[in-house]
Amino acid sequence: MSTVKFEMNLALPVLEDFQPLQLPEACWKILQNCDLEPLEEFEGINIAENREKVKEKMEEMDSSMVMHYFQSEKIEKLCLGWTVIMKSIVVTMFSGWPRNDYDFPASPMDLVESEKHVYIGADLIPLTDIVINDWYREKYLDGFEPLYKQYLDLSDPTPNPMNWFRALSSPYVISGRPDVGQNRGTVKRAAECFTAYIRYWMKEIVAKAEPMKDPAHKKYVNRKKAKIRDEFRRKDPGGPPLVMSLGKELAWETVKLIF
Amino acid sequence: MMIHGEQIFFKSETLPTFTERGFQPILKTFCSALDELELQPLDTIEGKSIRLLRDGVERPFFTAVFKPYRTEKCEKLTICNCILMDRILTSAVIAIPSDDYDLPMLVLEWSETESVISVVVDYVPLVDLVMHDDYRIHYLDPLDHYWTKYKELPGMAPNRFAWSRMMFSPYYLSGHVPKQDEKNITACLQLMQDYLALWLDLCTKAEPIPDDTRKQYVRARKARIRKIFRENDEGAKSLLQMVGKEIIDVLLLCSF
Repeated sequence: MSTVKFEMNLALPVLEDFQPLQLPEACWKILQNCDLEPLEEFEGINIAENREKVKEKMEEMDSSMVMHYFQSEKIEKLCLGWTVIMKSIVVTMFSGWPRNDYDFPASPMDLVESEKHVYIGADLIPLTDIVINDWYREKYLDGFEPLYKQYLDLSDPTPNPMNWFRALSSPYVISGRPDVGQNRGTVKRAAECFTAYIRYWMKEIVAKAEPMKDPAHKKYVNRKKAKIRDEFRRKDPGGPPLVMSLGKELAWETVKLIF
Repeated sequence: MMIHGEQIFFKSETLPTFTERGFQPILKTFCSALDELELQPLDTIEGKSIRLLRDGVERPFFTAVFKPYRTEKCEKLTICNCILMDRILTSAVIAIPSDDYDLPMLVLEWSETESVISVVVDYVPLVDLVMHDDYRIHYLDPLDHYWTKYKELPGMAPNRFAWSRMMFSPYYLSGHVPKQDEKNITACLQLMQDYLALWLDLCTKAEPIPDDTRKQYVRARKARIRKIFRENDEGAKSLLQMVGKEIIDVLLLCSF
């Protein structure tokens, strides 16, 4: 696969209520030299057409959405972008998924920022049974423990209320709605945490990944990846607002691109 | 079950409660729920005698009794009660289903000091929940009501250890609950009671695993879970210096 260098505009617009962090741009700085290529189609969906339709619909709702999709030798799909809802809520989204020959963890994450609130959901979701396969945890996940501990205070003391989410989470999930903090300090830490997950995923996990050799393992991994994707597509709490903005069909198409 | 003085007569066994030292009647809570079960006491596990802890052991700073039983659907159901340095009461119920059943492993742990009750409760799943959401719906989602009720107790927090978080279900709860408020104490006792009662109900209704492939998978996963617990159990690690390897080996055999 050839390396294509390209410029990416991920700048968030200026908002009246608060000045959002330029998190999508910070994420892109991590990714820009990682041999990514633009993805043009996924599961039969033409991405350029989807982008145009989404832009139009979002504008009708006084909102905006910018999503970029990439691929690489090991990555089937990487999605990075943002949504600004009603000029008051900014959602930064990242999700990375391995190609069918690779077993490295998937990483769907989001950071939601408004004037008074912040939410962070970040994880490195295993694609195998890590109770049985402890080598997987050792290979891909355990190195993250120091960073997890560094940012654990961002997680709520009470776990995420969605049982399906808890069921697929790794031991290193961060999910929380901390106060924005003085001078929005906690938002900045949440953004640091978000980029730490992306950096680790890209530089430590994807970089280490080798193609799977065992057909039984490969079959399990791809079934599990499909299940996880399906859970996010059908149950992610971002779905209903997207349906309100885009309508059912376009929202489903967009969710399929994100996850 | 009868309470006589500071001891409980449970299935013809005598267990010390330590309530006279100001600890909560956690043992009574456990034993009341288990009283109706047909429990067959075990003397050996994996070919090794466990009488050292079955009959109760007293060492300087450590008094403990571990009572493992077999039941119709469990290869081992252990109730234990220990007191450390006269300051910490630890009590637990751990149930491991036999190979014919896939119901989750029950873990209820209570550790109490003068000021805090530390709890860990879970139904540890014996399958990968992403691949078997029917399992979650059948065995775990009935906990949702209790989990929602108790997750906001003061002091609840994610478990510190990745090895345990990777095995635990979406309904595990753990934390260090302060005892200042009587309501917290009552809630902790009720939490144990609710998780235990529901598990016993699920156990009563559990049917044998119908196919051999699933049976083999469940057995392999259960073996891994037990190995992980035995290798990592923090209580055992911290007691090792105090009570010696002989007791710890038996303690781990009895527990997991």
